[in-house]
Amino acid sequence: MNRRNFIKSLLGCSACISSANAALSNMSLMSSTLAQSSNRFDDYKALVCIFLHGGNDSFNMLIPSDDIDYLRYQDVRQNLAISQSDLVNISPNSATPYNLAMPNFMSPMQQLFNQGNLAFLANTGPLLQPVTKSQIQQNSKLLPPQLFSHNDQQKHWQTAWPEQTSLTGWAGRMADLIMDSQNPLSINLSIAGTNILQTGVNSLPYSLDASGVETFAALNPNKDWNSDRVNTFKKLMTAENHLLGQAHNAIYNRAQSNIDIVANAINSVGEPSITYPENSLADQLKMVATLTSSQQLLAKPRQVFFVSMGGFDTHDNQVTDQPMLLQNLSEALFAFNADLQARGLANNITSFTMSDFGRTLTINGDGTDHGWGGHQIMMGGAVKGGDIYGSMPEDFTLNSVDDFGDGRIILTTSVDQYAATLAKWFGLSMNEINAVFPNLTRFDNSDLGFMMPS
Amino acid sequence: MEIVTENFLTRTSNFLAYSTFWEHTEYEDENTKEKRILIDMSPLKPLADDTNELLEHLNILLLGGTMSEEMRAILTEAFDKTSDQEINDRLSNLLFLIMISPQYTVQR
Repeated sequence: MNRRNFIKSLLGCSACISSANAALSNMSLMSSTLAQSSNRFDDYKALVCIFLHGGNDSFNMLIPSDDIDYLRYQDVRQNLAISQSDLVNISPNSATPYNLAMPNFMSPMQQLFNQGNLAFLANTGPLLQPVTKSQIQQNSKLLPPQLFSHNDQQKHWQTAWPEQTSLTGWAGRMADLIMDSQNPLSINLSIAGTNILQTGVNSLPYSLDASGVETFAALNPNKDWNSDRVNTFKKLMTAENHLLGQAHNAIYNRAQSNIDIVANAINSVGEPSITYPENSLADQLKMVATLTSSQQLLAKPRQVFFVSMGGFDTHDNQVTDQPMLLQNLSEALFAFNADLQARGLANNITSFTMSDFGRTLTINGDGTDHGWGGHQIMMGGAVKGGDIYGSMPEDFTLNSVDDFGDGRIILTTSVDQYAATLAKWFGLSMNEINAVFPNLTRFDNSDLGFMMPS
Repeated sequence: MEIVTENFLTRTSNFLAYSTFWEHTEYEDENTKEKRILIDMSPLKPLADDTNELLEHLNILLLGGTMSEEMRAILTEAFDKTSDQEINDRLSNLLFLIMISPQYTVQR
């Protein structure tokens, strides 16, 4: 070893030691925060993310009802326009640029809106920063990366960090901050598969499906005929000396105990007193209602659920497909709300939608193409319902200041603001909210005001 | 380790259980024969009389020769304990145990 290498290795080593010390002290800081976090909430709250895969054409959910504005809508939507005679009026508490109505196949949702159990956030989606039409015309770098691409925009919605190839989602990062390290079950439960929204650095979502948990078929310790096999498997785990293999064993043991915990919790809850419609989203929401009712067994003061519905990428056949989708969505939400009210949980649970993007106001013949801004739905007893938050586009005229081309509407509110409002209700401090949403400070308002004060 | 989640372990274990216990050449379904990938038990059967030889074969085939003495002893005991069972059931059980083991699941 020559002198230079010797000094280099010495420097490397001391750097090693000091960074190891820093890591250790960080870890002890973290564990003390975690120990506190288990008891910081004395109430129960849950968020339910309903992801509408494909990009919901939400400009057909909130439709101008006055003659002049309806004609503008009809002019651009042509044969996809919902007939004026099929609209049911709504009266939001706040002023909108024109009177609004919903299609009659969404009447269960209209009823929820009128009862004050449901609100809309107009024209939202992933943004890097607030933008105007002239700004993005001059500088395309202000646009979120891979605009109009399904998987990228879905990822942006879920990570709320568009400029990063982020490996964590905002609900996962929330879980990292507030999870109880002593409780093996994740805060994040998914009824619709693994997703990035619920993936954190230290916490992963736990998945089950609408019918319950998947158990180990050939390693179920509660079945006699498995006992020799289970014993041998346990010996093999004990014989594992490698760190990664030992991590595997810890995850296996957690899987076994979570199966018991969640299955017991589900079995402890009776059938709902109301009837759900027969569709996949309703089945998933019914399972969410069951899980939220079993808090005494699950012991989770905060939970985030993920459910989803597909089919919203209506490039074709929109006249037939979209009414069916929105009717299923409306009926599922209506039943879920009624069930939570019957269980006395309506004020504790807030449901909200996300969807890849809105769609073009223009049509492609029998469908619409990928757009940008779109409206989202918030539902629950803690939502200040019967209102529309955010800003509706001034009108449905093409090439307006809101139109980025072909009726792709420029966003006026970002995912960061939408999700931060939910996170505040959920009980995160402002410091925590800023840590979860690194771009939030770029927007002037971190609370859109659609939640009741907690 | 990022993909070794609770759900991954449950589903993989179940996939392997179905593949080893019920979807091998001996239980082949004539109607679906051409569409399925089945575990071929025939090369294993002649080895079954000699547990050492069988385990050495599976060690090379499934574990790239990394089976520890301790693991070999555990599997030998487990396999010998099933000597009164049908050969297919014994082999299925052994294959399943190896393929769900942390030694097989986690590449190192």
